Formats: sequence, structure tokens, C-alpha cells
Amino acid sequence: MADCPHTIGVEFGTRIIEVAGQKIKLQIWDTAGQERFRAVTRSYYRGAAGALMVYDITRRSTYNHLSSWLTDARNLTNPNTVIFLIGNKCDLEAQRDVTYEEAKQFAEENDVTCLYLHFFFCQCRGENVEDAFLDTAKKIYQNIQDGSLDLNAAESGVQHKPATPRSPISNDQPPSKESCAC
Amino acid sequence: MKGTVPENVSGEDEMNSEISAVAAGDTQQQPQPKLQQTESENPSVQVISRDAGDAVAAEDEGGQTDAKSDEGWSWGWGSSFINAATSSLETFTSQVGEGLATIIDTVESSLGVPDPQELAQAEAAVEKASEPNGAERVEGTAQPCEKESTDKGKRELVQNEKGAEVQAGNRLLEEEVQEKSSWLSGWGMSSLTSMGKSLVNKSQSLMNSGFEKAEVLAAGGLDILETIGKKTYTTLTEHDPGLRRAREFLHLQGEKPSLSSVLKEAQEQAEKQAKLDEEFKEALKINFGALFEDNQGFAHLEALEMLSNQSERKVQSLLSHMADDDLELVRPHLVEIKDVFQQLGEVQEKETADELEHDFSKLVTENLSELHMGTTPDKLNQVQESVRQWIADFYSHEDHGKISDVKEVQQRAIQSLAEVTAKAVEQFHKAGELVLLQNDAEKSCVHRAKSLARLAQVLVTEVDILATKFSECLNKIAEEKNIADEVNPMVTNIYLEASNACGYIQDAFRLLLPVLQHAALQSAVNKSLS
Repeated sequence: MADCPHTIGVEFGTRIIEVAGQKIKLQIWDTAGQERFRAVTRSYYRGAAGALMVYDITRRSTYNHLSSWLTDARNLTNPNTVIFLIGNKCDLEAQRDVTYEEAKQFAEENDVTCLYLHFFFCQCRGENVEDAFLDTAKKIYQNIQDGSLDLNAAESGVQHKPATPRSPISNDQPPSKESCAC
Repeated sequence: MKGTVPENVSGEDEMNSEISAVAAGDTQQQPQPKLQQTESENPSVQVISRDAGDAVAAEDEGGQTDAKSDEGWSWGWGSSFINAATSSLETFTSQVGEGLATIIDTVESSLGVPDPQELAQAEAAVEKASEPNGAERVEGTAQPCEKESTDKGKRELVQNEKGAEVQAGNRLLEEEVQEKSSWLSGWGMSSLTSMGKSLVNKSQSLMNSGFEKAEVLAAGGLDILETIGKKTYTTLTEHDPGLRRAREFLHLQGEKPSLSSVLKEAQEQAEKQAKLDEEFKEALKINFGALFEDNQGFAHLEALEMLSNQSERKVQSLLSHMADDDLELVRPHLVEIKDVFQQLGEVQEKETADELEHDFSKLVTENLSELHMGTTPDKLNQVQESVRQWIADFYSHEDHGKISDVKEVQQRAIQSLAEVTAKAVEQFHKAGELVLLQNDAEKSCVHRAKSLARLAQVLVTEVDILATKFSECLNKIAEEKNIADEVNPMVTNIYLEASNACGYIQDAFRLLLPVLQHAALQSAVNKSLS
């Protein structure tokens, strides 16, 4: 992954998407995957509405780290934080090192939602990336709708604000965990 | 009498059918007590009122009842009885002759409203049947129909409903009418003998006595019905604010002058909204906060704050667990770092904007390399360079007013300030992260604090210079176009946002204090361990 510079600590991105007719602004925190940044990136979990754990299907080592990422995500976020598991680089089927089944089993055992994506370059550009964030946002939105995520709670990670006199915009902050060391 | 709700309720919403049970009517055309039930689309909402003397139905279904009752009166009372009989047959409503029990029964049964389609079908069938035979059939006796007959009618209607041919229905209904007439006359005979009145015309007097009796009972029964109806109405109105709202809504609708004015109003509203949206978009372009956010300034500031808070907690816990000797050793360092942070404000006040010109990228790079952390201020320098380039381009043109609009300059000014500030905050954030990650570096935290303080000073100075330069640009245009009034608030706005920007830069720098103290403590702890 020489094309992509290493993430130092955390990088940010924003994206405005639409869920159920509502415009939602996602504030994405792309945290560094490297072990040496761990101490720093742990500071950033608080107040996240959702988390995306990404591993590289062609490298088992990234998959093996998932449980420690998950432990951090569970311990440092609130119980309603939506956690998604994402298999990266699904286009490199020939070099696959982690089977779909075992990832699925891991997701089921740990009660996280499993998604398979097709990134070409992590955090740069890729297909289905949009879908991952869209699905996460939908799930968060659903949690708000059914009341399991309280907007008024200090650490919900979601702000409700009228951007224009008509349409309210929520501001989500799902940090995406790049567990593949790229 | 219950359970008459048809299984296949049709899709018709409008179930406005009048269900009338004619109690009596005599040769003198006395007011005919009429039981008028208006079924709205909601079967539970019923308005039952007594409408005496109103022979012509106010509301009916397709005017059929209307025509029928008119016809009935022209035929005389006799034919009106046929109507009475048929209508009672149609609606399964017993007449009041049976007393209160029956009346209540009726009310209950009428709650199970038959399908209007079936009603219409049955009605049409009965009309066909009665028209040719009506005159002959009038036997002068028609008495309140009994449950029995109604039930029969119902059964037949059910047959109709089940898909029997209309013709077959006609035949059945004809039979039914005949059967009922003869049966009723028999009943009338017995009532005659029991009353024991002497009569010239047997059938007529029978009628009269029958009606008198029926009328008394009807009046009493209807009073109760009216009470029930009123009570129902009151209960519904009191417990259904929607009804009141619906009424108010309808009332308001009536007051509105015309459709065109409504449309015009809607159009004006839409135009106003569009204008507001446009203004909002314009306002966002010169809104420092929005632009700062677009450049991830707030995100970095927030992340830095999180980092700072965590370091603060770490500092507290490390201090509380430290041995006294170690604490004595590290304390001067912590105080020194704190002093560096407190000096920032003082240094700033000594300088004035005029003497501020500096080599930004050289100073920034110098101060960052002093940190010895391998961070390169690429983003910061790029942004700063592009801003300076824009200003230089502006000055190189002779006729400023022609190439640039004041609004454009203002937008560019605020945007530049927001960008530079956002990148500055990002730089401090990154520095904070690296300070925590590389606390074994040879450079002391005090040294790093000093470098960062100088960096903060350079950034604040740069913001001041940019604000001054943009204001000069605006003033030049104002001189050329003689629009000082328009430009002055813009200049004020730029200086205001510049001080805002400096505030963010200083906030970001101050958030680094716990981070540096944390790093200093951690390295002390590491040293004592090794």
C-alpha cells in the first residue's frame, strides 16, 4: 500500500448522505491502524455513534487483530455504538487468506454486523465504501428511531441541528478503525 | 339483531345513507315522526336525531329516497305505507311499536351497518317490485313490523348478497311484501277487537287507532332515542378534539377567498423560502465557523481536546502514584512547561501588526523541526502560500475594482483565515499525538513546549498579517469605487474573524499543556524504572 500515506493518529473526512429523506452529515474519524498509535487512538473512541472495523482479507494478521480492536471498541464506546466488520480488498479473491465463513462466524459470536467490501485502496477510493457508511448510518438512524440511542445523551455522538429552516441534519461521528496496517 | 355487519365491507368511504323508520302517518297527513340516522364513514359516529314533520329526507342516497317519498305522498297514505314497509325491510329497523326494548335493539342493530351497495341493490329491487303492485297492495293496514319479518328480509338480503340474481331477489321480495301485508292486516284485526271501538270504515279506523297507539309509544321511545343521541353526540365532541379541529378547518376553508389567492400565497411562500435558502448559502460562504468546519478544524480541535483530557487524567494518576523523590525531580520541569504556556499572551501584546512581516514557511518549518518529531508542515505551508499568492496577484493588477468584487474579496479573506486556522489546529493536534508517542526522544518536553509556543506565535502573527492585507485590498477597491460605507463593515468582519482565528489557534496550543506534562512525567517514570 505504498500509494497511501500512513495515518498518523487520526484523519478526518465528512460525507453527507441521505437516510429516510433526512440529510445526515457523517463525520468520519479514520484512526491509525498501526500498533504504535494505539495509545493515542484509544482517546478518540468516546462519543462515537458507530465504528467500522476493517481488515484485509488477504492478510490473516489483520484479521487476528480484530478481537483486540473489538475489545477497545466495546470498552471505550457506549453500549449503543453500532459496530460493523468489514472485509477489505474483496477483489483480490485469489490471494484470499481469511474465508468469508470464519469472518461471519466471528461477527455472529461477537454480535457485530458483518459486511464485505471491495476496497482498492483503503481510505482512498473504492467501490462499496459508500455502502458501508450508508449501512452504518441507517443502523444508527434506526437506533434513534426505535429509541435505543438517546439523542440527548452527552455521548450519543449524534447532533440534531437545523442546517436550513426546513431539513434537520444530524451529525454522526463513527470513527472507522483501519485495522489493516496501510 | 346484532351481527348484521356484512362480512365484505365494500371500499366505499361514503356511507352516507339515511335509515328511516317510519312510525306512523295518517289520512290527515299528520307530522310523520321520522327517525333519521346519518351514518358517517366511521360507524361509531352516529348522529341520531328526531326530525318530526320532515317528510322529505334531507340526506339520502342518490336521491332515491327523496323520489320515493314524494311519490308516496302523492299516492296518499296508503302507498306511503308501502314505503314504510319497504324501508323498514331495507334497513332492518323495527318500528317503535314494540316499545323501548325494541327501540334499543334497533339502535344496537343499526350499529352494524349494512353495506351501502347491498342496500342500494335491495332498494332497487324493492322499488321494481312495489311500483306495479303498490296501489293494489294497499290494504290499509300497515303496522310495525316484527322482528320475524325483518329477520326474514335480512335472510333474503343475505341471499342477495351471496350473488343471487336481481330477478330472483325481486321475486323473493315480492313474496315477502305480500306475506307481510296479509300478516299485518291480521294483526290489525286483533288490535281492533281488543280496543273495541265502533267504526264505520273498518280498515280506516283500524289504522287510526293503530297509529294513535303507535304514536304515543313512538313519542316516548323517540324521546329516549333523542337523549341517547344527544348524549352520544356530546361524548363524541368532548372526547374527539379532532372533530372540532375538523370543523375549524372546514370553517377556515370556507373563509379563504379563492383558490387563486391560496396558490398565490403558496407561491410567495416558496419564493420567500428559496430566497432564505439562498441567503443562508451566501451567509455560509462568509461564515468563519462553517468554513472552519469544512476544513476539519473543529474535528481536529475536538480530537485534540480528547487527547488533552486523557493526558490530564494520566498526569493526575501518575502524580498520585509517584514516589516523593521522583516527584521533586520532575516538578521543576512541569512548572517550566506551564510557564512557557503562560507567556504566550504577553509576547503577542508587545508587537504591532505593522512590524509583523515574516518568513512564514521558514519559521514554521524551523519551529517544527525543533520538535524533532518528523512532522512536516506541508499542508500548512501550502495553504499559506496559496493565500499569499492570491494577495500578491491582487496587488499586481492596477485596476482592482474591475477584477474583483468586494464580496468576492471578503469571501476569500474569511475562507483563507478559516483554512489557515484549521491547518494550524491540525498541526498542533498532530504535534500533540507525536509528543505522546515519542516521549523517549532526546529533546526535552520543555524545549518542545518552547518550540510549540513560537509556532503558535508565528501562526497568530500570520493571521494578523492576512487580515491586514485583505482589509487593504478591500480599502483599495473602496477608494476606487467610492464605496467606503459598503466596505467598512466587511473590514470589521475580517478583523473580528481574525481574532476568532487567533482564539482557536491559542486554544489548540493551550490544549497541549497537559499533553506535554504527560509526556514529561511518562519519561521521568520510564527513567526511574530503567
